[in-house]
Amino acid sequence: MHLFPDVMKRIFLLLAAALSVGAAAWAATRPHFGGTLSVEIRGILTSFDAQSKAVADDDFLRDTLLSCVCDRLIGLDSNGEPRPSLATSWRSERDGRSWYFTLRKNVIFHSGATLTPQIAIASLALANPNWRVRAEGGGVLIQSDTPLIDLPYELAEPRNSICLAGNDGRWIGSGPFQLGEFRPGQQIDLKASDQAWQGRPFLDSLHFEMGKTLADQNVDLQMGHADLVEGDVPQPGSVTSQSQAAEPIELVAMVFAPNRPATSDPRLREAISRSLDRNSIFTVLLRRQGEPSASLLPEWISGYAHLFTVTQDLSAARRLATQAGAVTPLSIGYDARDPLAKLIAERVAVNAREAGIGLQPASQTNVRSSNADATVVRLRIESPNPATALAGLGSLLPISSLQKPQAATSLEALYSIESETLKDFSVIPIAHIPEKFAGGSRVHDWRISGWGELNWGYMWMEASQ
Amino acid sequence: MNLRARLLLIFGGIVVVTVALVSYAVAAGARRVFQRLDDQRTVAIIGQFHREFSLQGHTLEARASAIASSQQIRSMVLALSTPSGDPAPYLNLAPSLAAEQQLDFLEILTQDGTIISSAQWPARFGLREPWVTESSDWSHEPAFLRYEETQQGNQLALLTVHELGERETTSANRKFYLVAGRRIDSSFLRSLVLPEGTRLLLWQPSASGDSGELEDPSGPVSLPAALKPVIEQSRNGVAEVRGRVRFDDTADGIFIVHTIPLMGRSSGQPLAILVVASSRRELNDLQDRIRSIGVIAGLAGILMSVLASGWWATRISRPIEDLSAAAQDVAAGNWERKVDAESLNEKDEVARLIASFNQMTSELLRQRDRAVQAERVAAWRELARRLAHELKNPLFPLQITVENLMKARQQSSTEFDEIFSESTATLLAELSNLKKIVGRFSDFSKMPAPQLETVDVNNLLAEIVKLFAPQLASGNSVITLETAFSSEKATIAGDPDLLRRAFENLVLNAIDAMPNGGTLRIATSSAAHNLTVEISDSGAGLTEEEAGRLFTPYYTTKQHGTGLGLAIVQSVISDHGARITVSSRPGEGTTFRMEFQRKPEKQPAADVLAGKV
Repeated sequence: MHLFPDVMKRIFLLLAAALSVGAAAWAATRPHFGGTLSVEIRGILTSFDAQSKAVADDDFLRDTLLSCVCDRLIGLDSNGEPRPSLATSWRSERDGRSWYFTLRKNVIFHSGATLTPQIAIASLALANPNWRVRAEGGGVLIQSDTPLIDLPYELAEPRNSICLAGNDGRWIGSGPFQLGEFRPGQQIDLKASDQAWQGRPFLDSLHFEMGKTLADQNVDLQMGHADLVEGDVPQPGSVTSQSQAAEPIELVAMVFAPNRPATSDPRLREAISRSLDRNSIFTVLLRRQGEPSASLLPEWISGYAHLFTVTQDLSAARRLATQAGAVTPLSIGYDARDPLAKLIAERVAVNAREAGIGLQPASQTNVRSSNADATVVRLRIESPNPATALAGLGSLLPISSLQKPQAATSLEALYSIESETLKDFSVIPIAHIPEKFAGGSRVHDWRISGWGELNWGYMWMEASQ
Repeated sequence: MNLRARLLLIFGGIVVVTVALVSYAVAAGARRVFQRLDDQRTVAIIGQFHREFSLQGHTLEARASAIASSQQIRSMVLALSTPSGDPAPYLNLAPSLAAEQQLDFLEILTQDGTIISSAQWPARFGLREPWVTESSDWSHEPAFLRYEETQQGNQLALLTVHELGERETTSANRKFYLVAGRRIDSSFLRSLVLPEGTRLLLWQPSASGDSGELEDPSGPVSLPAALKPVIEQSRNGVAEVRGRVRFDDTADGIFIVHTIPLMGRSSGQPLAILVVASSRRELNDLQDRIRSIGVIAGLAGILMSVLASGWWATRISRPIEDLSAAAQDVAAGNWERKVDAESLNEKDEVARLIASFNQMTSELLRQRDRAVQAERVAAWRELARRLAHELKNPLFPLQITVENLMKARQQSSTEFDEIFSESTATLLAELSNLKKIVGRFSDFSKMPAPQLETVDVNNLLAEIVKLFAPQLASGNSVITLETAFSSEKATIAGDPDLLRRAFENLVLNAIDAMPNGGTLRIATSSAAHNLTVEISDSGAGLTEEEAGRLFTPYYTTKQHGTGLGLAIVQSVISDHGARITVSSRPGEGTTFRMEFQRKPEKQPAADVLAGKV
């Protein structure tokens, strides 16, 4: 008789304990408001000038901040398809030469201003001088002489964010966060906007530490000094837990400086291209992250990247190098802040040496103004749409044939454009690598899209102990 | 060059030559000693290099063993021993281990020599190093030299290979290699302690195939042109070569170099050349010091020789110089000149010579005095004879006339008055003759001093010729006159009256010497500083004795001569600072030659000369 009450008592206690643990666990996983997310990043922002891009890291930082502060007319859903944002609907006429966007109502900017067609037109006209943009019927009309078939994708790019210019050019947008304290090149704070049309973000603020190396980020994440850090291709000792990667969204390529007598012979450039051991770079340096690639667009965007040969052909490389004749050792530049670019440049030099071509790696403080004969660059592809992505690369590379790929109506046409572009080996793609992030244990519900966008508005943090 | 200068030269030369010989001998000895020391130093450095080489090899082997025993390597070997083993995570293993063990080179290779990880060039992963599979057992092979590929180019390395065998792994069917090494460059050279004045350099061929690169402990240095052939010789002959090389243009730039070829595992050309260069600075300094001491000693010797020669001059040359001056004085007629020899040792040869000289001059003076006295006695005798002769002729008529007069008085002849008148006339004539004779002697004793003025000798002789011309043409014999006067101006400083008297006397003598006619020749010849007058006849000539006594007063070869004519001529000529000589042979005539100074330095002391006679 006494046994039963004891058993019941024990069962009760166990149930109570289980309930309390469950309640605590439910409370820990339930999103809640508050907290400052500390983010460390390699990129550096020294001004809010939209045109002062330097390297991919800086591009990523700028795009990230723009995504937090400003909205675009059109966004992309989880599948990379256009979805309404500041524009609630759109339609095209005249085979894509005329587009009309209906603006969302009651969108309040951080300055208190309300979204109007004039604000949208000013931002779009600034970013796209060739467009004819005007207001029409409370919406925005975009017209062009050539068909803008993929215009929604293009409008989803960060560069087409709708922003007002504040003091010192500071961005004033309608996004979930607004700009706070800014110390150029060091840190920037974003504060949650209570007036955001999408709703207030869970986090109270975002604190970005700029110019942090990957090693420092890794250490700070482990020490709890950072909540979200970048995770480049895995390196020994790096934290890989709680990391997420986008699709291979960065193009790693070797770009020859134009009008250099030393590299003017296309046979020499082809010899270097054929000497590249992309598979070794992929397996060892990239640790099988991303994909070896001889095309500008990754396979997941274009679907035809596999048609470009990535295998090494040393005999052909040596033959071409011999035909090109003896040249003085060339320099291959890389971003001094980017260890992966350094390793890749050195490997390119090793492969070229096997083909009898001297390449000397040289660090550069700014690869966009590199004085080397060739430079290893990392270019961020900002759209999952192939034509838009190719056009985006065209704006970053010294290749005129990529300036108007939107006119292409099919993948075959894009393949043709890309093949023609790469035929003179002025740009030698090496690989596509993903963007990776690693989060601390206190950060929840953070996700990175296939094309590298983080869902800042949906992240939340556990309360501090 | 006088005796003192010669002594100075001799003493100075002896000192300089002696110092030079001693300096040369010392320098040559020093050079030999330095060369021996240099050889010993080079051998020591080479030995030190080999010891350092061996020590570094052992250190490398120890560090490679430590790496092989590390947990990271064990984990790697375990992971890669499985068929699915991925070498990618170990890409940075070699750089981190190399940093831990302070290695310049470290590579981890698979069994077939494929690079898993490379410290010196991380990007070389996946490439093969087939040479590492050539040896079946690396454990017995010492460290060796080899060129390792790096990003900066090939670099000379001291390497050791460590096999990761069963001891380090649990897998016996897979083998891995560790290739550890350190760079052989200026830092390696710095680890060697070098004696002062020694340079250690390392030459390596360059990739471009030119003359190669040279570095010393401080880093790269330019390759001296003179070193290239030495290195080439050592490289091609694979042998140590010794040479002398100038590294720069400074005085200390010359080095004695010793090359040592550094070989790799396989035979063939050396991988590099070690150059041990010994400076010649110390030797040069020593030679400079010896040279300086030699110069100082030489200068001191020359100074000493000057002082010594001065002292010796006092002791030797000065008495000799005094003796020489005294001899010149004696030759000039100052027979009373004496040389002081009091400061000299009596036994000294020079002192004896001076004593002899003084004795000789004393003897000469005594001889001259005796000769003068004898000459004077002879002259008085001759004068007495001549006076007797001259006076005897008029005295005899005087005696006869007086006796005739006395005889006529005794006879009281009527003719006495006539005889008296004739006798007194004769007496007066003979007395007049005696008076004339006495007057001539008186004139000779009263020869006046010449009153000098410029005299044209040619004009003077021409006037004399004109005066005697009628006399030459008259008489039974004909005397032909020949004149040969110099075309140049024949002026001298002289007394024209005395010279006229002398020349007329000589012309008269010549005419007297040719009673049967002949040729009278009068000639003058002018030179820069003197004037010569010759008056010759073609008469009977003189014997050598007659010629020798011709100018002796009162000596005459004529029947009625006084013997004073030529003496007066000699006196006049001498009073003009000139010299008269006579040359004659019997039957060939006689020539009187007078040599006048164009500008007499001083007026001749006629009285002194006269006093000598």
